[in-house]
Amino acid sequence: MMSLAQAVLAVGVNAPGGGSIPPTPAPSTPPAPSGGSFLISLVVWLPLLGALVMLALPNRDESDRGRIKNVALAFTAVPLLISAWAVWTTFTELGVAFTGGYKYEENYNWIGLFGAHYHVGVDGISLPLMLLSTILFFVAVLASWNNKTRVKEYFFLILVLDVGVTGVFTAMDLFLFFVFWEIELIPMFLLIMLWGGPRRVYAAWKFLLFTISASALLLLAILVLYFKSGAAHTFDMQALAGAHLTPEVGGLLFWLFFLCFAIKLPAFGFHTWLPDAHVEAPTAVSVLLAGILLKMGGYGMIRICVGFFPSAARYYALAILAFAVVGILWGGFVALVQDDIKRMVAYSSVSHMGFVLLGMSALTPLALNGAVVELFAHGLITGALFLLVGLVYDRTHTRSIREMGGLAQRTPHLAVAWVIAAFASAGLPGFAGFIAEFEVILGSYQAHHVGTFLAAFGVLLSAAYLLWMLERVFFGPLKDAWNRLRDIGPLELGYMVGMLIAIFAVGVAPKAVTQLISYGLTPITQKITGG
Amino acid sequence: MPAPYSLMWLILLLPVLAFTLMFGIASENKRTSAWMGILAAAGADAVSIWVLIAELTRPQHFQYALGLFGDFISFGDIHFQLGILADPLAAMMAVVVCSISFLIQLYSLEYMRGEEGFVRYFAIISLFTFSMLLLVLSPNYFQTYIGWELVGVCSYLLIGHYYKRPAAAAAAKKAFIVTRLGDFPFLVGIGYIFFRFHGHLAPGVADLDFYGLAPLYGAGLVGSVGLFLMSMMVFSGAVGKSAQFPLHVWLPDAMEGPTPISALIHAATMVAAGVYLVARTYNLFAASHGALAVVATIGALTSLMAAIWAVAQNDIKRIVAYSTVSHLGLMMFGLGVGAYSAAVFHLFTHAWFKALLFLGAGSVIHVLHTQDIWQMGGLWKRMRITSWTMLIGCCSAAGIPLFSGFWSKDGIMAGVFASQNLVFIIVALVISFFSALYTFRLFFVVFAGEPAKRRAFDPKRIHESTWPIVVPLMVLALFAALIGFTGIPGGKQAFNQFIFYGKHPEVETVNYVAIAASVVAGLLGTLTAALFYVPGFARFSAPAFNQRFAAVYDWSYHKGYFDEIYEAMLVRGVIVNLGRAAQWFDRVVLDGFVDRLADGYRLFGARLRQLQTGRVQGYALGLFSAVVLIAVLALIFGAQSPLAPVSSAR
Repeated sequence: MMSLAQAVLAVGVNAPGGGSIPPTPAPSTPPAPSGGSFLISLVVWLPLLGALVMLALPNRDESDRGRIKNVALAFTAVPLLISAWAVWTTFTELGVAFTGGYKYEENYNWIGLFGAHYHVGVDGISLPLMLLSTILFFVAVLASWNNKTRVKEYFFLILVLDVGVTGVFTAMDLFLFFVFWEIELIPMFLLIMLWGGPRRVYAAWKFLLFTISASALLLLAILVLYFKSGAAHTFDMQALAGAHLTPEVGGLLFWLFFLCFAIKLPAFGFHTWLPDAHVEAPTAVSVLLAGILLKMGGYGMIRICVGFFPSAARYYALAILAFAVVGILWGGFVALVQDDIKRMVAYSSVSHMGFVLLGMSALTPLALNGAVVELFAHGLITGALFLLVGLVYDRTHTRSIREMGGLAQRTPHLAVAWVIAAFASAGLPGFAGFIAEFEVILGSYQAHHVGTFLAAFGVLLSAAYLLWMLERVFFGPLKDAWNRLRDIGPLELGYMVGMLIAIFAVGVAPKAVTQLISYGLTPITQKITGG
Repeated sequence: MPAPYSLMWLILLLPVLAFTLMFGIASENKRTSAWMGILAAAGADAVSIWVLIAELTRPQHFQYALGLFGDFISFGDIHFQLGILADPLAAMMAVVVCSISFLIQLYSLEYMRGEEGFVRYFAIISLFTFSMLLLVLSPNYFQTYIGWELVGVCSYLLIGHYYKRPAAAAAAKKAFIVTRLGDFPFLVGIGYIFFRFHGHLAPGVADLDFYGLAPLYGAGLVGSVGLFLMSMMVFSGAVGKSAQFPLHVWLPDAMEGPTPISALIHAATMVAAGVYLVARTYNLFAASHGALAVVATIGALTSLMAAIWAVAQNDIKRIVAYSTVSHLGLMMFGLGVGAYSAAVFHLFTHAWFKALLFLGAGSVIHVLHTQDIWQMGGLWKRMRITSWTMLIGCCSAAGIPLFSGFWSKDGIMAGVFASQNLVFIIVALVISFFSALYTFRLFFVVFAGEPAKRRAFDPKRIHESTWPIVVPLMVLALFAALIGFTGIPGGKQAFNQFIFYGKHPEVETVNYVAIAASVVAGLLGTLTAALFYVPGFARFSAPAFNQRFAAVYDWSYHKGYFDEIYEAMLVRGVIVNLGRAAQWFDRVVLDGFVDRLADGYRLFGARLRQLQTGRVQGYALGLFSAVVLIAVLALIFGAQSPLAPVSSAR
């Protein structure tokens, strides 16, 4: 296979105008098929093994179901431990043994016909997201512990979903990326369809319609990129990131990818599937949906839209800024008038994901760093919020804010957890969300003065809808209907405290995380600054 | 590093440790929890006093990064640090925060006895103290913003302490959101400062460092408009926190919290943060043309309005709350006209007498169980210590000569007179007049004459409060009476020599006209109060006066109708309707479009379903049609594509 570098040098592409990239040596020859590490594969495929084991298990009585849950727990716990170990090891090596690039790479020939490889690995951007994914699947299993309907099918689908999502963050081959991206679809559709609320059919189909459109765009974009990437067609993502495209093709591809990821993120205009899907989905599925599935969109934005097409990203920065600002304010304003507490949290996601777009449109190292931190922070925080919504719903069997009131008197621990999570979501210092939003706003001001100012208003809005909700749900006099509520139990308290500690840890010691991410972003920022 | 400075991390550690212990262990033993907080504040106070003494003997500037965190966020050439700063301003403020926090916790031991949420109350006070100290000892904007937000949250939690009461929950939310309205431009302003000066800092200086930035503001890196915008963004934060017009509306509501909390918020934490911030970043304001004029105008306006409104209030805490707004406005006024030392001095003296006034009011409320001043009266004979200490507090607040408030206010007056702006001078004198009027109205109505006749309440049961309440009152009274002598104009001017802006202390010539005018205005105010409210001495009837000038009275009683205007126009009128409109757009326009699309799709699917049945077919169909479409496009875009030669031709 001819290397891309040779192809580029031979043709000598140097696209003029429109923020072109000077001809830099593309990344060296894609490494020969190699093995060595199998850590990433373990994290990605162990859940599938768990799912297969589960298929073999009987599902007749309570003890069978207990066994199924334990299998699900074990096969999400081990990937969590592995990825936590990987993150910790990398932290200790920061700036010493690890100064950028990929770790734990695995590269095998896969489909020789068109040069697709099984190529996985993690860098500073994907490593935190892999950790996030394993955390949230583990917590999702715990949060589904009391699920009694079709237990086997439910956990089977969760584990299959795990494979797809984790795979997306670790794939280094664009075709593999697409395959993982598609794996996620069906389980999510079925989880909403079969375990959802009253309007689940509408919500599930809406989810499918939106997501499948995204997939179509993604496939189209990948194929166009494949054929335009140079003389030697490749799916290697590092090579593609260095590919030289004309501004026209680059711009077209940028928008194709952008639309796909904008649906997933979701950006303003493509966001209406989100509230419906969230409201109907069961708690753990909402946690996964908001916590990690949306992050696939954000990850794609940073990795592909900015990483592959930096000059297009710069050229269209104002358009992205418009998406960002409108999304932040739109999500905030709509969240403010929601009566359904879950819908409110769903719209808050639209608002927060706007900060990812803002960071992406600013393209400064600080803002991009903040955007990736936001992906991680929002995954944890919004996951915690959906868990808390579920805990409230389990008790009151309503999600209507108007019907609640004074709950803190009966469920003090739940109320404290809610207050902490709400402030974390509102970007309070000491929690992960603050680091993200502080970085994005500081880093973006340089690029967009007025846009950043408008976006910062979202920080106020988030405080407004969250505190107003807290006031109406937990404070004030206790309504008679809620006189017999019980507070959260040890299991629920356990995973809530775990989540909050993780959010807090990133908030008070963000140095390692931000540094790790900055190493991951170095190739991108170097390209942007024309290095 | 010499001794007291190397120990300054203890000032931060002790309160946060107390909070962690109380929150984490949720001690069943309430007294132990409370004493943990009290001792932590005392320990932090001891270290801060040591630092202050060191600064007094040899003023200098020390600063270092906190070892545990070092560079908080750090990559590339970006360094955001947490650290500790010691200079005269920080040392003075740290002592105020720790001392007031200590006295208030001691007081709360008795005041909050038997209340629900006792441990939570003390835990959050410790966190509050920590947050304020984080802000005060901050060497850069980054840490300041962290402390800034934490202070806001702590006051949210404390104002909403009685969360079962709807008014308390609403007031807490209002305080947080209104102050955040000022915070978000502040945050963007920090972004502006970061972006402009990031590359110009001396090597080794962390980003956003106050001392590192000080020489850069005026160095011509930013134009005058830029500097003005920058300082206004920073000032916006101060306007929110220090309850300046137009964001003053949260502070009077904040008295829904327990009374000692009001004392804490009004004297040493939260509202002091805004004035402190302007004093800390005075370089920026001074470098910009016009910024200080805005500060002065906003301060004067706030101070004047609040002073007038205070006269029409009947709730003892509300009167003191408006007094705070007025005094904070006066400090901003002072900073704006260039009386830097005097304004900071007023921040210092105000902390003592305002804490005293609130704790004194608390002592009265604790005994009488009412906040309505017309339900009080005649307490002079029955609560001797409270009455005496309150008298001292009132004299100090009203600027009666020789009390501490007089000295600091006099400095601000001299500054206002020196500005030679006639409007400012008149406004300052009117403020002096009303300030004395509402203060002594409060004092005369509550303490003079005979006890109000109240059903189911025997006046004989009124008695002095117990020692944990009385001792803090006496300590604060001592300070409120005497602390002003540290800043006598024309004398040695200890305070002026200690905390000043620029390279050298301001040389202040004693302005006897200013002093005389302000004293006369104050005495006139006191006299007016006496003529209306001292039984036996009164010549006028307040109710008759209020009826005669009903429009003014109503305007004043309703605090200028600001709450109503904001609620009706902004909250109900704009914000909520924007939300509803956006929601409508989502549901009708966006979803409508998607549903139409889905209908077409379903129609198409129904045709196919005649051949096949099953649910997942839809997915298969979608993927299949997508693949076909893409295959076609790929062929077009492939080697034979008309676009293809473009890339290889170049």
